[in-house]
Amino acid sequence: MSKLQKSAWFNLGFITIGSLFALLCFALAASRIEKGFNYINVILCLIMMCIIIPVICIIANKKSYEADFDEREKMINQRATNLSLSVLIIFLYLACFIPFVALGGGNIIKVIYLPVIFICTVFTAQLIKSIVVIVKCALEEEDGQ
Amino acid sequence: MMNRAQKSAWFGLTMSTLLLVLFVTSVLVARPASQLSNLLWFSPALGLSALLIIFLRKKQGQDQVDIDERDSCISRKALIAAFSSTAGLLISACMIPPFIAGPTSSIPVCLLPALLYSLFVVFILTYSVAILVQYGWTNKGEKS
Repeated sequence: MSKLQKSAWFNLGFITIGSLFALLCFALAASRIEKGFNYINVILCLIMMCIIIPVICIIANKKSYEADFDEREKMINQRATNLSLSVLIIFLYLACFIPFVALGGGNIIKVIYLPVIFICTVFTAQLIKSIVVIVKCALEEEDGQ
Repeated sequence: MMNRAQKSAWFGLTMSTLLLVLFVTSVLVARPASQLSNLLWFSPALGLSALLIIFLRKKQGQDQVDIDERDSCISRKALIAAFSSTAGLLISACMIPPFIAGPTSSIPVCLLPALLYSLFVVFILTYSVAILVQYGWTNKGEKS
């Protein structure tokens, strides 16, 4: 497999595991945590995000598969990213407007639906990007043979 | 004279600011949550904005380059800034309410299109500001 294909599979697996873990955490939170604003938990989560996210970005820039891409692979990755962002926008639009049209603006919906929208949107975008990369690589290999 | 990107950015900045003011006004005036469904009447404003943006994308002039490498670089940086700010708003809007209200609480359905509307406005606003910061806010220093 090329670096591009490995990157696509790695990102897809990472996002899948992350999404399932996040959904599990929210399901546990919904069943156990009582209503109310818990300052300590929120501040701890924010601190962890402010530390973990930059560290992951720094490591990804230097050690990830994308750091060693050549021009062709960068171009394929860029096109896949553009397509995945378009799909992300469409998915987000549908996820927000379908309940609005189906239920009506005056009705209510569980607040847990909001993080589910976000997690599903991120997963869908990465899924589309990985599929596009893998299909493009497969098509190019067929043309090369 | 301002180039096409600056003109589009000023237009985007004006429209997004106007839409933001209208949104905040409607939220403050129409206190019952169900009245927020009247946000749909902003759709013609959004449609008009999209049409005018497309109209402003025509060529600057027959003897001028439509877009060069510097324009592409500036546009890409502005897009990154816009997507980053929109992503931050999306994450905050989706992750914070369950902590505040509690996971078993409910929200009005009309907040979902309001969220989309806010994301759109913030995206256009950030993109326009980023373009103007990189090119310059006026025609000074920009020779086309």
